[in-house]
Amino acid sequence: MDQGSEAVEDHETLFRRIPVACGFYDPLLDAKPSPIAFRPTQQDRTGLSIYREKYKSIEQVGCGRAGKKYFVAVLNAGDLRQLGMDVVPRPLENDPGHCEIADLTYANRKGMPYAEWQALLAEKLCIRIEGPYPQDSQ
Amino acid sequence: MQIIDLPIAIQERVSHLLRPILKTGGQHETGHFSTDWGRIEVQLQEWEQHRKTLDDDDLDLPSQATIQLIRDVCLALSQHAVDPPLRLVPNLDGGAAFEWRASPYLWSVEVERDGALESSVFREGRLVSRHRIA
Repeated sequence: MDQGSEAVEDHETLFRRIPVACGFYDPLLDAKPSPIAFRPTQQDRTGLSIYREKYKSIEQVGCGRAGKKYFVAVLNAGDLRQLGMDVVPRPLENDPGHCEIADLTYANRKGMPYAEWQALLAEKLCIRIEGPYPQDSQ
Repeated sequence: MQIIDLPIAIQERVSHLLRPILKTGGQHETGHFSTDWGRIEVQLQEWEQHRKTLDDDDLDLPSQATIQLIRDVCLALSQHAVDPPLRLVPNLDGGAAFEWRASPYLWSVEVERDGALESSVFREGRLVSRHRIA
């Protein structure tokens, strides 16, 4: 079996990268992020991109484009499934930890239940948010 | 979702959009009216002047024309004595969303690039109401 193609188990911890510059999360304003931090972009054609802790550390997930900073939201696969979302492996070349919240796509982003899923991810399913990354010493 | 007939002026659109919210009590309930809409104007000016800071991955940011539209909605909301939002964020689709929190409610007003407005109220992440003027 290819690395990263095995099913995501309920106990697994997952990460979602949140760009700092967009203001989707500011711990000084509010403990919870904006639901738009979990909204698919045009690149999310089959599901919303998230990452598996078993393959990638939170610091690695927080490193995106050069010169940019990111918060990282921490989620649990079983919690997502309890609210009707499915998490499926979608390993990429050089990124076996990439997976997706299935059907939460750009095309579906405004429909139900997908609009509500974004709010649930922000309001109920986000266990904590760490960062921003990369930290100055990294 | 309820779709409402299109009023032309932003002021009138915002009035229509706010009607059901104000009826259901989803508005921010701080008990006072703040005039601190100025920080939102500062943020819009930053969006205009520092697009590269916001430019990240595949985010679709508001254009200059959409920022002016957002500014008009700001003015209309403040004229309706709505408190300044918790935050204003890009909606990743060329528009932006205002968000207010009055726990357990989250209320958002989304301004789309084509001038459509959408108001959504969530309670603990569950959609309570959604209205759109397109």
